[in-house]
Amino acid sequence: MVIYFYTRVFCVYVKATTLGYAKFVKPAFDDFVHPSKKYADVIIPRGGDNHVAIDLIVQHIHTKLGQHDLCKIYPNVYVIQSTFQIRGMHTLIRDKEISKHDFVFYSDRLIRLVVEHGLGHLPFTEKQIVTPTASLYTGVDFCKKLCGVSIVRSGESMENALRACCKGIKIGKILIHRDGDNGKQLIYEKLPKDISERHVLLLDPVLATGNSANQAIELLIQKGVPESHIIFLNLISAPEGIHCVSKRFPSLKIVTSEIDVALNEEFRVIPGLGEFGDRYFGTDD
Amino acid sequence: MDSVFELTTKMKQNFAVHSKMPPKQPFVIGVAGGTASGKTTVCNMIISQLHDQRVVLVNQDSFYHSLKDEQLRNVHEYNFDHPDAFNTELLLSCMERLKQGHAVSIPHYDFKTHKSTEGARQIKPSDVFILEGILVLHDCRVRELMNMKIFVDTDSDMRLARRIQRDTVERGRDIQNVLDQYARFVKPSFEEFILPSKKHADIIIPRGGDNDVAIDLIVQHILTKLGQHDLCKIYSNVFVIFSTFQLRGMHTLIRDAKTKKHDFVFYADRLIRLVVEHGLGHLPFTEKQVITPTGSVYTGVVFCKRLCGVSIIRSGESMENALRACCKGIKIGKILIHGEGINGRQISQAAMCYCLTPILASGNSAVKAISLLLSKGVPESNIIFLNLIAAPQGIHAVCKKFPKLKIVTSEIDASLDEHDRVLPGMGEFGDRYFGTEYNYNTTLKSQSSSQSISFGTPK
Repeated sequence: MVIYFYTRVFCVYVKATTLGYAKFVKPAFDDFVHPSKKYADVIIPRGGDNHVAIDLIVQHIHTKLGQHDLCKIYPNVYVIQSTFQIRGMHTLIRDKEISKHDFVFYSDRLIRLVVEHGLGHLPFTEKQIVTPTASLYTGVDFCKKLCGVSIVRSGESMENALRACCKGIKIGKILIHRDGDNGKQLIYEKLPKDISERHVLLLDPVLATGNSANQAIELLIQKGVPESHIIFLNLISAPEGIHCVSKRFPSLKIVTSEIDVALNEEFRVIPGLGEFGDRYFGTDD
Repeated sequence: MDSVFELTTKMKQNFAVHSKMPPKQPFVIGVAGGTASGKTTVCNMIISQLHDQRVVLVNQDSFYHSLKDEQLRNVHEYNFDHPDAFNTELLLSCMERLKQGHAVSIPHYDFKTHKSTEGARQIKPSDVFILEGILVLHDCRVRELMNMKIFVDTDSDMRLARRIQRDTVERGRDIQNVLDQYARFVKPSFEEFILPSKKHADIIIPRGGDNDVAIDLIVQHILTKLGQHDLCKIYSNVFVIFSTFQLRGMHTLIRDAKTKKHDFVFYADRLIRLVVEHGLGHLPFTEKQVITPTGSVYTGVVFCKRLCGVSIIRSGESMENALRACCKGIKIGKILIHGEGINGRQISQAAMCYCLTPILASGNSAVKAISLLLSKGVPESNIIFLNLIAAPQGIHAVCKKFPKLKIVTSEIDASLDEHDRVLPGMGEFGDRYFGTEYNYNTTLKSQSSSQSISFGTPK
């Protein structure tokens, strides 16, 4: 798309003439800038003050970039709406130079946003209430049968944000260990007894290959949790992990804040943020 | 029993307020441009791509004045490209009624007999209206009806070529005749009336109907606007945070008169945090590349760090915690808008200023607070106004006066009652949040008009 900012170019031109550069600028404008206007797709008069037009272009770019390709393939993959603030926080936590304190602070803020977004996918029932102004407000009552399940160790970093949003929520744990080349092995699990009646928020900040996630989801399904009652919350996901999980469990929802480029040969997410658990809990050297 | 009776009467009254709510605002697009510039093609492409929506095309040609007998005899002397050839008053009244949600009948103009037949076409209220014609951007009253103004800009030689083609082949007119009319009326009118109206356009589409990118852009924009609250269609600087059922559930809890203080604070805090996070998303930024621990390059952004918050006392203070939780050590100033005032201090030259108040009702105190910030030298475009609940009246008041600031809110409510309280609203936010006693009837009386402002902001 080619956009021609009419006023901005014109302003440059006016400013320059008053400075005495008319000899050069005006011919340049006439010869090069102005004729190039015919190649534009849209012309924006009044430049930056034209809010309607700016809004329009921003919307367009949002829709065009908008969704990640994977969200088009798997309708149950949700990337939280990206703002520059979110991208800024990602820039901070991915930077290897950042202090531990800042890493935890910005990870926590991002996790909180992912958790809030994830909670938005819970079912609801309609409810009418009377406000103190004695008006009727038609709202919703959200599902209370909830629990969190964190994949030890890095998943535990997301527990705080979940607790901050849902007071007294039950949180179960699953520990999966890589067992040589034979893949993943389940070492430990402790889950609420009535988990089959609850909606489960599965917590793991980084989705890499998806092997341990699959193992954890498998376990939840064995315990009687319907696949569609599981929401998997991530901070960063690799496309390989999304393919792996969404193909196997198509009705499970994945909520993530960014989808990264790929995995490297060591199955680490690229560009990624390194070993999340070590950086969050301060056990790296 | 009295209080129950009172409550039910009040509820009935408030229902009445709701039923009087204005109908959904249609989105009005004006498409202007010289003769044969491709206006109709652009409109048809927009309509065909908006197939799911109710789109109605209103042509300015329908509003031509009927020619009198004398004018008919000398039809070659009549200037059809002059603003006076159109019945603009009728066009205005029709559009006004359509905007209010009434059906109207518009005339039909016959190009052969040059007579207008009244009430020939029935038009029903719709989501989108496209007003097309050579001079739709000429009259300022017509322009004010539009949410988006488009000017189709095609080279004059191209237009003349198309015009000749159309008038000779399709309408069977003599070529000499067409050229005469072009030189005598069409071209002078274009230069005198149509071309100058281009400066009022929001976007200019070069090459008319061949420009797929521009059409796509416009269609996407209309679709987005249709999905939004009416006020976001009018003001492009109003942002309502993306609504989920969780959000609506939290709203249901904080609005409920029976919710306990503890729960009220908890859910209000969660909502405020989301509004603050959304508001921070509007900060300016610069690109930055970092190296991740895996040794890869991540292209991200750094956001502006020179921030400050300004809370409007008392209820605005409830939003300070969330702002502090997101921005460590942020400077927060205070504004008190009420009876007695103290002298103000100097404001910092922060790059971005967050103005905090959970409820935007009539907008009076908001306008005062913003005026104060402006008088302290904060540029209007650097103010972001954060709300939990906003009334349409407040949004109108603030956005009309300060078109460059941004409003971020989590829900836009129905209306205000006669005491300028938001309906359905959530009552007196400050009292409920800080747990101070409140009585609906007495708080109404104590809400006197705000007079002066006190001020204390970071240096």
